[in-house]
Amino acid sequence: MRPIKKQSKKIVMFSAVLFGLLTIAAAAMLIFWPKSEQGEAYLWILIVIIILGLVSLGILIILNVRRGKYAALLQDDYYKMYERIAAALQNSALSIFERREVLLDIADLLLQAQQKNRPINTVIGNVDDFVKGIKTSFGYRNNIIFNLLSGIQNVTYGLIAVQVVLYLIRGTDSFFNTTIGLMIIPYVAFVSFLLIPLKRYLISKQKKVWFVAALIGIVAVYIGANELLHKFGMNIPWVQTYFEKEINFIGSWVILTVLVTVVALSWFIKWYIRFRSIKNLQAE
Amino acid sequence: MIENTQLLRGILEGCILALINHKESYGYLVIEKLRESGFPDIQESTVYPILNRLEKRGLFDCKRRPSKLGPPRKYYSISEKGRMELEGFAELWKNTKQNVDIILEEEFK
Repeated sequence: MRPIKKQSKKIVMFSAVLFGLLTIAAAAMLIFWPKSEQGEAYLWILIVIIILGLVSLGILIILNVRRGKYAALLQDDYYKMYERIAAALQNSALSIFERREVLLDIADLLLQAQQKNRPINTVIGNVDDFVKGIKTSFGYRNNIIFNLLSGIQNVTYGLIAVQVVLYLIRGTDSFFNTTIGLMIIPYVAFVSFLLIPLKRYLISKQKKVWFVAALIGIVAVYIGANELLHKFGMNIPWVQTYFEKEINFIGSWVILTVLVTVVALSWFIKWYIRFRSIKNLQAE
Repeated sequence: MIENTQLLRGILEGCILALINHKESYGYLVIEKLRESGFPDIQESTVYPILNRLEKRGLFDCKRRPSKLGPPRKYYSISEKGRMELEGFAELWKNTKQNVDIILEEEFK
């Protein structure tokens, strides 16, 4: 197994620390929360958090080691450049296979240039221009449409996941009878349509500090707004509905089928746009 | 400065097609050949998007083969469509060069 590079190691360490803090917070909640209000649900939440954290950390380590297979052969300057290009490509309408292919080509080019002892600035000039050139070489693809379609998919995955977790925690007699809080829906939509694209954009621009700051800021505003509404706005009907209304989101097989169809359709549209862009290039 | 112009990109496309028509090649070798042939400052970041675009247009047939240095290397060979494109480029270049030469000769007579 090849060693993990310094930058990847930082990401893994950062995630491990976050996971550790999350586990401590969940454990503290379990210990200090009054037993009468606790119920079995909190034990389940703790178990789910720990399992999800461990799985995510495992995936992160595997991905970094796998990506390191060729990138680990690059010296520091070259590796940093490779990482910058890989990050910038994340914010694109390229499919995962196209990205992987491009990164293989780039790793090969960089390794050969490195072998000739060329300074990195003579190999890749302006990274933004380079990545723009790569994106254009796959034909025209509207990034906004791709973000919108990904948002639709993520909202659907998110809401299905919430209902599955609540079903497991509450032990409702049927999955379709499980209700979710109305306030979950705008939250999931907000994460899917705004937070994830923002994360992609900021990471692609190597603005990691901005990303963390934006994340903390947005979460703080969200929690703060909810707390204020809860404290001072409960006499307003829509606020009360927002906090207290439980809805049966996936109430039948029909709705589940519709949601799965929406996800499949989004995938198909993305595939079709990619397919058309290559066909248009071939027709030139 | 000229490196970013449409003109140079068009010329490079023709040159890359010609180099690969001559012999099956891979990305870095194409860049080295270009450097040896009068584009000494050409960078990977200029050539790779062009190679990729030409490939996606169906002007190359590509195969990956194992490489001792790292990842499997992509080899480009010209396709029938690529050969026709090259012939078109050569014809266009010949006419354009002739016309530009006439204008420049008169200007700097």
